[in-house]
Amino acid sequence: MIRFVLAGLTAMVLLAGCDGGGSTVGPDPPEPTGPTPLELATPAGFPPLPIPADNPMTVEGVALGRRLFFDPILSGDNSIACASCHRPNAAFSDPRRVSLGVADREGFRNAPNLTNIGWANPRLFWDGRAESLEEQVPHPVVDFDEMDQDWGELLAELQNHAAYPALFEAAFETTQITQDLVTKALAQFERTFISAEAKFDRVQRGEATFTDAEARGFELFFTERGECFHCHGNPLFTDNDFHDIGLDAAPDDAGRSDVTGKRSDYGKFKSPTLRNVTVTAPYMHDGRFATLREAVQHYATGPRPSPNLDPLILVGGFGLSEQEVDDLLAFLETLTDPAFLNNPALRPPTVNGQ
Amino acid sequence: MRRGIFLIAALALLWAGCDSSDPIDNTSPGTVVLSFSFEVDGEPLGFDDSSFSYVNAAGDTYWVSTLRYYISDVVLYDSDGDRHEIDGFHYVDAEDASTLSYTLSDVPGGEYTAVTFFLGLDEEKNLPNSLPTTTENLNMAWPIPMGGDVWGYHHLKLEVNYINPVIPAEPPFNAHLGLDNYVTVRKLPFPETARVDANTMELTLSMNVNEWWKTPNTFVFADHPPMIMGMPPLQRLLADNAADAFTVKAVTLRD
Repeated sequence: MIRFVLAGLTAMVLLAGCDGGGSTVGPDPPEPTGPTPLELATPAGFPPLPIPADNPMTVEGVALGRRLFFDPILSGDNSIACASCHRPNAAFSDPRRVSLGVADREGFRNAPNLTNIGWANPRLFWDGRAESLEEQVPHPVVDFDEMDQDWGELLAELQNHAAYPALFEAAFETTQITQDLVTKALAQFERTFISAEAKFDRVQRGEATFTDAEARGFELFFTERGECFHCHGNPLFTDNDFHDIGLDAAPDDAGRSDVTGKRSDYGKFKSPTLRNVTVTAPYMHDGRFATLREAVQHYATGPRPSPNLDPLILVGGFGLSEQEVDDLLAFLETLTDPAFLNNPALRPPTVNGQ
Repeated sequence: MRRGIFLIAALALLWAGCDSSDPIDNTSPGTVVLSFSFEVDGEPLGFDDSSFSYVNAAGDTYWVSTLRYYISDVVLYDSDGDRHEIDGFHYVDAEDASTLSYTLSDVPGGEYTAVTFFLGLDEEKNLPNSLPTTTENLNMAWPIPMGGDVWGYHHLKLEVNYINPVIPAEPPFNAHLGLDNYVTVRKLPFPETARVDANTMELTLSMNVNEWWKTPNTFVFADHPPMIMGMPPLQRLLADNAADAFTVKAVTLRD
């Protein structure tokens, strides 16, 4: 019996010794291969960035998504890229009232601001019909009024392209290009659209101070006098929820109810983020307001008694004075983030991929 | 050696025998699930438009668009009348089924007869940026210019529209409670005593929305502005009304 115990102890010591000494006497472990994990820093106060387990962020995935985002190869006639309607210098919105797709076909809603779009889960589009970026991406590709593309043709084009198979291999370790991988790469790139360096953020951190007008606008924005914060609160400046703000007494766009089928959702649209709002004209889901002043003025005097008017919106508006509108505009200007709008990593890749 | 083995086996059998035949003296912790439902004087609460309209104590016809709130610091009363407080909080959105149950783990075993809790967050919890940065919590934040540098969150958002013969276009009333105006819910007796013992006890809690407008303060919507975040005394009147807004409709035991 004692012999068995001793034999067991000896074996354990030997095993432990082998384990501890492996790094010095054995061969070096192989270098890890495959795409390089990319850790995105979540800005202070933001929710954790939702990232699907089956689409982790990688350097190569983002680079591929960036190339695809700016490449008109995605459209049926190779004329329209994602960036044609989501322009980086406009916070990835479109300065046109509605976007023009292939053959100049008109869309029917204004292309939304994509600032911090990674936090929009689970409700993307003005009507919230997609629950993730991966689910959202295929919609415009096949939409007749947008890219009017056939996925089979697109995948064949990408597969026969001189560069893409290698880029997919680097990002996903396969040269077999699929719709799933195209959408994953684009989603990864869009998750890098992070904006949290506006003057507002610096004031929050104690690194800057508001002007008097900005401070008055801040006060209006975050009290029931201006009543902005319930739908556009800090830090995302959207509640990711749906509201009827009284634009029309009888809305002609069903909005959210197209998705839910609920009569009570008729005429409701998702609150857009107000980060970088100064560069995302025109405004509202249909781009009806050419300027930000017009959009703010709507809340001052404009809301009509529509069927599903949000209780937080008053018919006839909040009675804001011209001075108060000016102050709100001054505050909204502090949500503009030049570092985001001019970020070279969010512009088309150059020839060498930078 | 063989006698020793027999002795150990006999002791093990005795131990197992005691365990299975005497659960009362060996009550194990269990799970309590609070399930939230909503009614208006016995009618199920429907949302959003005038097809789901109700009449309050003042005679106002109204309907509900939003009902969101926190529950915190649940207290269970055992059959001796002793309190068992379970620290924590839970966010409820009456339109989001995923929020309509609150699971409390490792609740001490025993017989329970009643429950109470705060609707909202007390002074210890309602601090700026004290809750996890989920979208729901961020949307419940109380803004800095209205006291949000001291108090962190709305306790409640209850948003309605009502019909008034004088005010056109179905005006709103937004019962948003914050600051120290959380609700201390009265002690809610169970329909019958229930035992927690390595099982799950589900309490079906119903909120009667009409209680918000009823006692002790009969509420006439048109007597007040549509938004009251800047009116703490009015928030207090509503919070006092809601102390008896809940009842325990059912207690269900599951293995």
